[in-house]
Parts: sequence; C-alpha cells; structure tokens
Amino acid sequence: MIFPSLSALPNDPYDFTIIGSGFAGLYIAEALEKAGFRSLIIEQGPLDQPHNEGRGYYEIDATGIDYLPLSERLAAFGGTSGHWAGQSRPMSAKVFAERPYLDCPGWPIAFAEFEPHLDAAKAWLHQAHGPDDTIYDAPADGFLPGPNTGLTALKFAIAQRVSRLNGDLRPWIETSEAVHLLPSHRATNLHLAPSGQRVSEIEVAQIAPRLIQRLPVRNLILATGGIENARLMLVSARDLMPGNPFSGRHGRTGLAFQEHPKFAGVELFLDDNFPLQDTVWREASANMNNLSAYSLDEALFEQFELPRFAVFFWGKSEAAEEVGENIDNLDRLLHGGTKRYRRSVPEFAFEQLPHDDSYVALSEKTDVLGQPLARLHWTIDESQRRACWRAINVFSGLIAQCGGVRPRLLHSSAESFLEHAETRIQHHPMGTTAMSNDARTGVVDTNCRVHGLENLHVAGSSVFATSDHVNPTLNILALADRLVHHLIATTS
Amino acid sequence: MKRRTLLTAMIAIAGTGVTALGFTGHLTANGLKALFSACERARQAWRRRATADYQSGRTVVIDGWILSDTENELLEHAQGDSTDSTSGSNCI
Repeated sequence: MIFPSLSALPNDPYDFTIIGSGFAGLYIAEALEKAGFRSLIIEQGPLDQPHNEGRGYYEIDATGIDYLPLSERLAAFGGTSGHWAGQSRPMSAKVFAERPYLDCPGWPIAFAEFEPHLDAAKAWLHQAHGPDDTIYDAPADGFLPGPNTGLTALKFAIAQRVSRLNGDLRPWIETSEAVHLLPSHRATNLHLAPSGQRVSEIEVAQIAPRLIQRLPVRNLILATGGIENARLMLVSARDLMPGNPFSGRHGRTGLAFQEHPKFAGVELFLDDNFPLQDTVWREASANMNNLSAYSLDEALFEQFELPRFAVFFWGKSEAAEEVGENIDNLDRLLHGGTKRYRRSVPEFAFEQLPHDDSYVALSEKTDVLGQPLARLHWTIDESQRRACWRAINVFSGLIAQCGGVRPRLLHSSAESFLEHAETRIQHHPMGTTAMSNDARTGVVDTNCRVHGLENLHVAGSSVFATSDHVNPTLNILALADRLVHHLIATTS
Repeated sequence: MKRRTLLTAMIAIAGTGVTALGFTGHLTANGLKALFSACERARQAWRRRATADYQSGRTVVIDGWILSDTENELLEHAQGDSTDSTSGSNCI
C-alpha cells in the first residue's frame, strides 16, 4: 500500500524499515512479505519516474575524475533500475578469492556462499538463462575464439524485469498489506539508542511541503545505492564521537569507492570476412538476449597480473580510411594486393581494485534540504592504470593471432596511456560500506550488518568488496537474497 | 640473422625466376601459372611464419601497429631498414 505522509501510516511499528525502493529494497521487502514480516519502504522520489530524474535531491560534488551528474540515477520508485539496460552476468569466483598478484584480498565470503543465491536473483529479474556460467559462453555464430587463442567469448543475459517494473511491481506495492511505501520522503538522519548498539529512530523529511519527523525503527535496512548509503551514514555520524558505528569503527565508511572504468586503447582493422563485428553488433542491437563481449582465458589474468575486464564492440564498424604504406606493402607481399578493412574501436570495461584514495565524503555544498552533498573523490591509482594498459596490449596481441584482424594501439607507451587515456564511467558506484570480517578493513560484516550495530543492515553495491567487470544488479540481488535469508533466520 | 637470410633468399629466388622467365621469352601461360604458383607458395610460407610469430608472441609495435617479426622483416626489406620499431613481446 502507498501512503502519502508519515502521519497516515498505521501506528503498529514495522518489523523492517527499508530506505530506498530500488531493486535491492523491493526484492527484500517482497521476500520478507512472503516470510510473514511487515515492512515500510521510504523512497525519496515520487511514485512515477520524474522528468528531472530526481537530480534536485541527488546531486554529488565530484572532486576526482570527472563524474557526470547522476543523470543515470533515478530518485523514484524502482530507483536507478527504472531505466537500467539490463545486461547481467554473475561475478566470477576468481574475484572472491585473494589475488596476491594484484594485492587484492577478495571477499570475506567464499563464492560458494554467494552462488546459491544467483538462481533466485535471476528468476526475480526474469532472465532467460540460469546462473551457470557455461550458458553464457560461446555465441551461437560469428567469431568463436579457438581453444588456444587465449581469448574467451562472453555472453551477458538480459534481465527482463526492467520493462515490467510498472507492470508487476507497481500493482503489488499498491495492494500489499504487509509492504507499505512512503514515496517523496527522505531519510535524513539515523539516531542511536542510548546503548549505542542499535538504531532507535530515523529522521524523515517530507519533501513538499517540508516537514521533518522522527520514526522509530525495529530493524533498519539501507538500500539507497553505492554513494547514498555511505552519505547517509556519514551525515548521521557528524555529531558523534570518532569510532562511532556510522562512520565505521575505524573510519571506513565511504572509503574504497569503485566504478567500472572504461578505456579505449586499440583500434582494430578487420578483414571483410572477419565475423567479430557483425556478430557482436547484430546480437547487441537486434537481439538483446545475447549481448556478446570478449575477454581472456582465466589463467591469463594471473599470468599477466591483470584486473578482470571485458571488451565490447558497441558500434558498427566503419570502412577504414587508408591504413598507410606499411600495411599496404605488407598486404601486397603477404596477400598479393592491398586489402580493404573495416575499423572498430572496442571498449575495455575493467573492474576497479579497491583503494582508499577513492572515496565518498561529505561536501560543504548542500542539497535542497540543506544536507551536505556527497563529495565523490573517484581516483584510479597508477598501478591499476598500468595494469589496464597491459590488458589492452595482451588482448590486442592475442586477437592478432586469430588472423583477419590488425590491431593498432592508440597510445605509444604506458606513460602516454596514463597521461592521455580518457576514463569513461558506467554509473556503477560500488564499495564505500565494504564487507569485511574485521571493522578495521570494512563497514559491514559477512551478513551485511554494520559492525557494532545490532539492527542496521546494508543492501546494494556499497557492500561490494570487489566487483569483477560485470554490471552490479544481478549480484546486488543475489546478495539481497542472501541477506533476506539471514534476516528471516535471525528475526523473531 | 638466419631467418633474415632465409627471407632474403626467398625474395631473391622469386626475383630471379621472374628475370629468367622474362629474358628467355618463355612467358607462356604455363610459365605465368608456375610463376604465380611459386609466388603464392612464398606468400603462404610468409603468412605461416607470421602466424607462428603471433602465436609465440614474437611481435613488435611499429607506429602503433602490432606486427609479427616476419612482417617486420618484410617491411625492412621493402623499406631498406629505415623503419623505426619498438621491439618487445606485445610491447607490454
């Protein structure tokens, strides 16, 4: 059921209060309803997607790499997922394990503790395929890297729930007796009980007309996104002593912000008969169930000490202009005449390895409610950039082996790449309340419970310890499913 | 040096064949066919070597282009060793 104001809500306290009605919040509320619990979802945006995409309530102050205003993020029922493109793939088991060659500790949980929740996540998204990785591999036609090329074809299943957001979730939320939605209200502060070990109340601001009230909570779940989860905790920590649970017992809240940085690094000149471009483009544009991308064989990541990445071919290839005298001469010698090529510039999408100089903090700038904006200081350290350049080189060298394609690097050296390569973003904010066994290295424990607090859990990409190169939504939902199982098992 | 000598010899043989055929006035259909066949066999051999180079990581980067060592040698022959190359496996 949908309520217009706090005063209209029933007096009975809810079992769970969920801040944020994105996919994580909605998934958790629906699962808790099935288990017999009552929940309230507080959504800062309206029920319908606003034309201004909620920017007035969700701006950031970017001080690191240029990060576009959150035009890709929605403050409305359904959250950012309301206009999400929907390609999905599970994180690899490799990112859960420690990777010493990248100085990356991985996750505090094993992949085996995560994998069983993928089925439920995919079913909820109405994805066509199961989570078994083998289903994603090997496109039906087109370029299939041979077994000894070092290259791997990837497939990303497309989630169908997006287009159905208002088709099935809207009627459900309108009629549910156990899940209540409070749109156009924003949680602005969390308050601790005198014991300091529980959240007792939250401050809720009605957007218009402006009205701020306090709401008691039993169990609180933050599901507001990779930046806002941390911002709300940092705002709530402002008047508390250092070492409080909101800022992280050891000040970890906001640290280790991660994105999926994208780089162009090579242009490929394809023979007319080379099927790579056709396959990828045709599948991506005409059949969104089979979006293809390419990567390396698993063993090569360790061999070359590379972060994980995928290579996408988003645009149609174009007829290449002159390739130059050298290539023309070679083609005369090797093929008896010059050749015509199509040119394509693939995009390399990387995982970002967590590091503390990439973070969310509070800005001195304020939003329309007078609250500090999130200050996003996104950086990619030099070792990662060098690793990205290595990856571009390795991929380019390997694809040259396949024949029918000539790669030309866009930078003359690693230094040129470091200095000139443009970093593109995917609007995948992750980290900032990272999962860890130890409060010295993370904010939430392995059950997504904030260290030091009994009744505050965090859902969403902010708990990611690492991210692989894949879109977060499917993995957010798998973690939400895992969290729900924990909540149901431990809540009376 | 050994690879280079072989390459030079292959180019020389092909050139000598053309010259000999031209001088003796035997550019008949069969002669041309044989010549083209020899050239194609040479090209196939170079392509095989280039492929083997790629697969073994024997590559160089020239003006950004990732080329096999064999392709680089062919270029050097074609251009009189004037190419400015950056050697190294994939230039990593």
